[in-house]
Amino acid sequence: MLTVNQLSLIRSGKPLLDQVSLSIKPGQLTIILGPNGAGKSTLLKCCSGALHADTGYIHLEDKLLTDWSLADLAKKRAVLTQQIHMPFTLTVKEVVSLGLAPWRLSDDQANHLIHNTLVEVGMADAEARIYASLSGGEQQRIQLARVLVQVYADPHPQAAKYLLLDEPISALDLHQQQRVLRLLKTLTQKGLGILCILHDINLAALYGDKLVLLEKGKITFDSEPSQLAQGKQIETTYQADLIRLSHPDTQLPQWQFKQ
Amino acid sequence: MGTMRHTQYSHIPYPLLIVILAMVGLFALTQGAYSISWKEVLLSSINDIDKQILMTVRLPRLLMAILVGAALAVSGALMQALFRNPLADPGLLGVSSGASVFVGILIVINPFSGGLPLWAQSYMQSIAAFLGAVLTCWLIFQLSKHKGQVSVLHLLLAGIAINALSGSATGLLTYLSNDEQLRALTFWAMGNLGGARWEQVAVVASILLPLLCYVWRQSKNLNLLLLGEEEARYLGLDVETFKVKLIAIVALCVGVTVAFTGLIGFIGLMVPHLIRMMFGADNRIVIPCSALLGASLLTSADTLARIAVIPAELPVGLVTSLLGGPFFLWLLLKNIRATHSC
Repeated sequence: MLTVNQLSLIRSGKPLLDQVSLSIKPGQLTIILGPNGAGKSTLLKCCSGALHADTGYIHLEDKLLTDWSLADLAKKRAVLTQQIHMPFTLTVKEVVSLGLAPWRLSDDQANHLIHNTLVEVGMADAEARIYASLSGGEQQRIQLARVLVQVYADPHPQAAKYLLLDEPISALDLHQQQRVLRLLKTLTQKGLGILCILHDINLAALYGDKLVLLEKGKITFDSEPSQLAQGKQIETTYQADLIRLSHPDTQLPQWQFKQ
Repeated sequence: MGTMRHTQYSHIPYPLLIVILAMVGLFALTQGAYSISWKEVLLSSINDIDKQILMTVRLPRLLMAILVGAALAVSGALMQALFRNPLADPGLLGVSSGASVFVGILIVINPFSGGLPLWAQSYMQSIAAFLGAVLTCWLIFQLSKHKGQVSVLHLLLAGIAINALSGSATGLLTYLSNDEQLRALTFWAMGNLGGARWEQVAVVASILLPLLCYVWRQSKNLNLLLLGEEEARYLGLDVETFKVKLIAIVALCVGVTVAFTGLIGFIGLMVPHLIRMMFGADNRIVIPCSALLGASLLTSADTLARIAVIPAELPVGLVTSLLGGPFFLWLLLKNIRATHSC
């Protein structure tokens, strides 16, 4: 389990995170929501070990996050940041294979794994293409594949693994959004713990096991999506005029503009 | 840029590059003010005079060209990975000229005034050049970093400023030096492999060969840097330590080559770029292939410098700049077009 305890971070007088506590459990898709500048990416960076908070603790399993070595951490969790520009002419296969850096795999194993993962993200025939020549959405799926091989490559798959994803579907079309979210759902069923930042509240309510609503660095909601069927948390946090509906299949709350 | 990797050469990089180096090397050994038949060299049935020329002049010079060319090309590839920019080059960014100022100071001030044996003087020059190179590398990095990212604009501007500053410092040193020092300075500053003797080849090889091997072993980690520093950390690389190591290696490579052969520009820019165009950007290929092609390119340039105006000789730095200047302009234009079409 990844547990965040009373985390606060102040930069140039402004609190980016204010007493944030949450836990990311294996087998759960935890989705962070919040308006622009609410501190979503900052929280994700803290959870991945790239940023150190001023006060508070993060534990990964039974150890402080800061006590993990970079090499061990790379075998325990993978992180997808927002769009990555690559100035050199690497092929898709070469980019994805970078995710295998923490592991030692034979060429055969690596090729097999990379191919299967590219199939999963719908880029099966792109192996030999130049990464920089792909569209933004395609690049995003290639980076997702790179992050996925990093957790797939473990020879001991029973150990708990975590994925931290910063807006993994921001550049994808509808079909690909559904494909990726379904994939994440399948992965949690296999035991992965996933923390994911999304902008779309409807998709978050539909796919998330747990939603965390962040506003000005503070958590204003942390529970199952169905708990949002009452109350006005979404409307007040986003300060938008919305109508709440109920999804016909799942009865989960969904929102529409009042126009 | 094509959307697919052009793979017509990519399965044979090493044999191709080794054959090129062998041919260029043989040409360098046999051509010059005094010609030696290549058949004799290959069959090692050469007469005493030829043997004398080969062993005392041409062979050490060839080995020096190979070592220096390889080191310059690899330092270029390293800086490009470090700055995540294909336009980074030790000469262009002022590392070489920064190093040359320190060697200039050593030549003019000469604190040991000739009391040292030749090999010790060689090492002294290397150390001075190394210090100069480290200082400029560090300066460039600080100047060009903006919000954790290295900006190309700042990078090139820092290069211009440092090159200008070094130019005026070298000018000042020229003004201060006496006739003998002036000759040593001018001769050395233009870039020349003519002074290569076995002792110097030994010193250069003892420093550069271990470095090149180390860099080759690190090529996987260099690939991680291409993703960005944050991503490389997530994949387990201790980026801060690695960057310090890379800067030290570039500074050592540039320092040593500048100390022994003066300013030879553009090898580090041209060679890795050509390799990437032919064989792709994977540093596991780029590093060793750049070393081979850099060796071939500098050997060719040096041979050209020797045979262009027989019996005189052109400085090899002049030849590489004549080749590299237009190449850089072409690269810059191509980059600008690519940015605009995005």
